[in-house]
Amino acid sequence: MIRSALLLFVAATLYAAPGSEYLRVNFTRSLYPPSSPPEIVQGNIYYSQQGAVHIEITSPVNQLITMTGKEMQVYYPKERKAFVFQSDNPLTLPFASAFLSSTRESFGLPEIGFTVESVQRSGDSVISSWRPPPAGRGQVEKIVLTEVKGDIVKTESYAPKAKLSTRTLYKSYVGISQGRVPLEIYGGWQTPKGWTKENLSFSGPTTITSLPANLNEFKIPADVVPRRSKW
Amino acid sequence: MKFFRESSIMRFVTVLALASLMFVTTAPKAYSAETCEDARQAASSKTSSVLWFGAGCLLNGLGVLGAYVIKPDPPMTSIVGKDAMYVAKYTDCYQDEASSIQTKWAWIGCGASVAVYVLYIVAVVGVVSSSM
Repeated sequence: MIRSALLLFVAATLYAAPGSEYLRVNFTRSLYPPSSPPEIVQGNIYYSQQGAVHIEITSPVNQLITMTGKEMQVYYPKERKAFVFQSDNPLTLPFASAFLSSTRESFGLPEIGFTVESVQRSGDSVISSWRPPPAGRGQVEKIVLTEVKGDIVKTESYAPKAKLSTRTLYKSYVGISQGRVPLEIYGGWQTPKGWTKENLSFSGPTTITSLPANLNEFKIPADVVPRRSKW
Repeated sequence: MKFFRESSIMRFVTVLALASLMFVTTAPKAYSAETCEDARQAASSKTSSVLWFGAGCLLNGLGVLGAYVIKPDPPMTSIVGKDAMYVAKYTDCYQDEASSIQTKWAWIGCGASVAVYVLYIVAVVGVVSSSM
């Protein structure tokens, strides 16, 4: 829950360069669940200056996703089918938020109530340990950030009893108008079946003034009745 | 001889047609079963039995009612890159499994709370009776 809240906060406060409406980036997400075949997804992510996140999946299916806070719209242009998910809590896609999360000071942890417990410095490296707010302590015991020359290179979250629950590595940093972002993210998390790995690669980050015409601003056509689910 | 050959061919074609029909009818079921299994496992890992046991124990009827009404958030990353059929099936199965777990533990918590209360009353009555 804390990881989702953190990444949602980052996504909600994204901004594009002045004069630009969207930040676009290509991505490939490779998921390796234990005892299951790998899942490879490719597409483009558009981060809106207003805080919405649009994702165009191009492989293995053509799927359009729009997230605006507590609502997520999923549309299949070829099948002309749509889903709308609504929740009392913000809906997130961590892999989409991960690209810009490193542009926040200390990963944005102070802004969502985390407090620093300890800081260790060694040359260009800084390792900081963060304690969650009271509401999140039942799920997360601490988060450890490792920074090298100002770039976050590793994040680890620990469940109660010091059990490692997630680990993420950030590599190949480049500079964009919003700050420095990693083009490669290697994550993993513990599940009941075992350790799940996720590899994210991003390319071609660029700012644009409007969405491509073929995406029709991600609106579900009026003649398509979406299936609605209230979570 | 010709008749025998033709009847054998007919039997072979019939068997082949039946076999292909079985494959067509069973493949979607296997797909749906796997999707539902994914959703049930996700719901099982995401739904807190402790939380709903506590809700039933502390809130009794309200906790049980809440278990029927409140729907937990699904892991939305599970539907990324999946086709519409998968998303529909996954959504249904996740909701059903999560609701089932919630209501089960809420009822258990409620029952435990009632049992403790009854034991308390019996104990109090026993103490009062023995003191008279």
